[in-house]
Amino acid sequence: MRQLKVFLIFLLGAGLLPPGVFAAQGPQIANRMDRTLSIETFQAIRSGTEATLPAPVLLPEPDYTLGNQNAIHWDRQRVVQITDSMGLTLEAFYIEAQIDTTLLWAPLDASADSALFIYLPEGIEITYRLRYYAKQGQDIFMSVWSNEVVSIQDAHVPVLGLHSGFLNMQQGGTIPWIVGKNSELHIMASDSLYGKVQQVVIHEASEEIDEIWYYDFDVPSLTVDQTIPYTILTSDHVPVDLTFWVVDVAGQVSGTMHQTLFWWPEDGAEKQVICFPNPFRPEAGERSIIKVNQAICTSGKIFDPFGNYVVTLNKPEDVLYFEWDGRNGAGDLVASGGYLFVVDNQPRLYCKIAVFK
Amino acid sequence: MVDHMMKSRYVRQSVCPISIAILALLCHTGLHAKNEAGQAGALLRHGVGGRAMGMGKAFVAISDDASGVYWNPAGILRAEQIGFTSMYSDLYYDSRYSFAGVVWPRPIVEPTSKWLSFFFGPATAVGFGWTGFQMTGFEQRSETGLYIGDFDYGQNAFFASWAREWHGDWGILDYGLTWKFLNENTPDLVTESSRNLNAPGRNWASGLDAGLTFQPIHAPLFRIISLKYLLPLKFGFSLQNLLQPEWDYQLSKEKLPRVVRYGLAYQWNLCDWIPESWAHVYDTFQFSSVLMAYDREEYDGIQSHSFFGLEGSFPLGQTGVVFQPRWGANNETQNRSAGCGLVFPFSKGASIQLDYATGLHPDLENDQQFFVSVNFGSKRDAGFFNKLAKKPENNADQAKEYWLLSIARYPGEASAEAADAMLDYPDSTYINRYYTLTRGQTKAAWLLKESKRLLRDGNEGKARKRAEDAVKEYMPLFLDSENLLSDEELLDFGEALIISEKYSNAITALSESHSNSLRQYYLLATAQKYTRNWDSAIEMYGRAIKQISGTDNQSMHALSLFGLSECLVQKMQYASAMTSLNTLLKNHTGQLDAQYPRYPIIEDDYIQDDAQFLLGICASLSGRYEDAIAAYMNIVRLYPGLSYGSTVETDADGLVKILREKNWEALQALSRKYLYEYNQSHQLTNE
Repeated sequence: MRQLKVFLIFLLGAGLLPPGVFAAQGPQIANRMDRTLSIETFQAIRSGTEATLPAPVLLPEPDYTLGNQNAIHWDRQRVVQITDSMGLTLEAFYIEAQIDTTLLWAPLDASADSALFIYLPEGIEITYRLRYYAKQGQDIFMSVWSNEVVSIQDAHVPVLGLHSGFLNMQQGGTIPWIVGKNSELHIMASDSLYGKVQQVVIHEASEEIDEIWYYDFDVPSLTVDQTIPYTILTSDHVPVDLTFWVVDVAGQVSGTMHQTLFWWPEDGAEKQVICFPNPFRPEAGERSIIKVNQAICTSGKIFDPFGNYVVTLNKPEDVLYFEWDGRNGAGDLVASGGYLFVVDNQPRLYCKIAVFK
Repeated sequence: MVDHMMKSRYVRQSVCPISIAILALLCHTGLHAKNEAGQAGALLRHGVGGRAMGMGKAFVAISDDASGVYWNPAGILRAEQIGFTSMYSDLYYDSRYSFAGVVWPRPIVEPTSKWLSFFFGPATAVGFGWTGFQMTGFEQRSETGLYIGDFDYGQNAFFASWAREWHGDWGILDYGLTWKFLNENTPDLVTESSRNLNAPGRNWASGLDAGLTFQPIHAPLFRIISLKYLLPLKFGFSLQNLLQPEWDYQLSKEKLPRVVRYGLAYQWNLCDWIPESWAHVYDTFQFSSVLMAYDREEYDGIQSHSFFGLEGSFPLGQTGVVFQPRWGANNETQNRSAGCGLVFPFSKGASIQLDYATGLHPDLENDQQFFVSVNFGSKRDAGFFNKLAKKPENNADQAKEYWLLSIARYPGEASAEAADAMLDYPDSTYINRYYTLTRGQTKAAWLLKESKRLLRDGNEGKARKRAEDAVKEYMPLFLDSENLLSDEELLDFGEALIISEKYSNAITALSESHSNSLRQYYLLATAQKYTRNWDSAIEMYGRAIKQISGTDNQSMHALSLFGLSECLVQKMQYASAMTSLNTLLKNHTGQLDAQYPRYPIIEDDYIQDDAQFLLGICASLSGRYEDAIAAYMNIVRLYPGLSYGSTVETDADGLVKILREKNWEALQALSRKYLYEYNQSHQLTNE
């Protein structure tokens, strides 16, 4: 038995069980009536007086409710109008919640327009209904049950898990970059067993823009592993700070992740080989990033202005840039001056690099 | 044939060591490009000048035009005229690379002060130059690749060179200095405050280069090589950035490395290497040459670079235009080069030269370079130095220096004249080398003179060898259809043939002379004598004796009388021989001229003892025994110290006994023995 308890505690800790299952306190209604009902009212409730009054209306509930408590609202004004028109005095509301096999109920003051349920279990459909009592003299009248509203408690925030960021994002240089402002963002996220990730939110901030963009998944799900389109609003070459998070169906917000990058115009809008920063200063820790349009180029050479061979640069096929640290093949920092980078076997693919000290 | 043999010998002497040395150096390094570039100062190592660039940058030992201010300031002393050179190259990817230079060798021929003489006199040269390159079309981009604008990057270097020469026993050493100013600029670059990048503006630096060239005319080890094959050899050494220029940048300072370059150059003058027997080839290429150069370059951060280059120089017929193809290889990235030039002469010795060179790059498009050069002004060539040497106000040392400078400009008639002139100086250490250089009849005459001296010294073997060498020099001149030898030179040729024991050839050569002089008949008679044509010899001796004999020819007259006597003895005409000998003894009482050759060999300068000896033999064999005894005893009495004095002295007691006993048979036997020995020692036997 003890082992089972430990196991269940573990599951709870892992977010796989609703905390209400082992909550220190069971579900309760926090704003239940704090005065004693009249004996007539109590008897009416206990004996099941015939429901003659029109039903109250519970306001709609979200499918998932954030946290372990839920406030159920109704249209009290409408109830007051009904009772007043009938010459009755609103005596009390009676709220009931079906939690699995447990029925939780409580009378509420006539002045109440909501019932606050606390310590609700997570991940279970909880059905709520309401009726009210009114009296005329000594007579107690009871309404029919209101509409039922259902909601599931969701007390866990979603987790924005591993995300590989923008597809084809290049890490060369002090700031990563992508080609083209229309890119795709790969998102991985998950929620607790009883929640669903519903939305990705991206906050784009730059010297030009400060906007939030939302993307709703067609079908909210427990886990998300999806590539979504994103169009950067900031102009090309301007650093953009992007903050990502996901929101679950309960409105729970995940932690955030950040990515700073900038984007280049699409291939063809610029030269085929571009180096930046230019000039670059290796002594200041800068590297020359040599962006190429043709990812298939995997090697190129640096020459001094007189055609003397300095060093060979290599890169994988899926990378769009070469990186030069300003050293020659012997490992020495090159002198200040102009240099040429030329893609192997394609002498027309070149750029001119200036090295400064 | 003779000439061809001579050439072969020199080939063995000089070509082999040089070629082996160069090949060894080439093999040592290999010609492989290295990934070590990026050192500061590439502008000062890439090279300028049409010749250098066509020759793969092997130029430190040549450096004899305006580009010398860049390569090796010492070399500019070898420029022959005021020269202007310009270069334009597109280099790579629209970069422009240019050079312009001017050289003024020996600017003031007659300086008016010591100061002027030291700095700008006839032993100096000055030069100025500029080189620069400009790379255009750099895109200035920020850290995020944002295009900021275009900028250029350029470097310039300005050179001022001065060189002076020094002459020593070992050769000619030229030394020079180049002061240079460098600047670097980045037009249109703008400051990027976001990353603390300041547009540097124009950056200046300056430094000093030093250089040497050495022509090892008489250096130890090199003396085994004939001057003719040694003069085209030059060594060069340069130390670039002796005082190192330093760039002052925003983050640090950067010094240009010290660059050591050394190498050698050799000019193959084809006239010296093609046998004259290959008439057509020789005629076609006798004024052509091939210049070969090899350089090594070393500085911090690299392994050595090697450079090898060739330049041909081929006159195009009689047009005066010279075609110069070039080729070079090195172990830089741009590791092959080729080029060519055309030199067009125009008025007053001036010329314009158009050159083209291309560097063959394994990865990039080839580098194309175009050059225009103009040379003008009076030439500082061998003729110039000859003229300086002949100035009467020169002291001996000055004149000798100028002659030496002239020789150093080998080949050419002027340098041959200078080599002749060098013989007039008391320091005769290298006379043989100069004669070998001048060749032809001058050399032949000297060889003959040497031969006769050796003969007189009793060194017959060496004398014959010298005479044979002289014959080799005379022979082509003798065989030439244009009768290049004068009558007197024909006699010299004949005499050389006699010493080298080619008597029949001597008769042919001597018969060609029309001098009809005592010397001609004497030499002809001598040659006839050794071919045993006694009658002809007697006739020629007779003609010789009949010539009017001046004071200078007294010795030859005596020798002719003596030779005649020898021939008459061989014909057993003893009486006539005695008459001749008595005439000799009567008329010639002094020493023979030491300079005059005697055939047969007479070991001393006195002929009287020889005559008395022969007279004794003749008298004895003709039955005049008492006269014979008297003649023999005269030798002992009058010439005891001479060769025959000592010969007869050993028999003196016997002669006295013969006379006392009148034992004439013994006298005849002794005389026959003397005659036999005489014939043996004087090559007069009839075998």
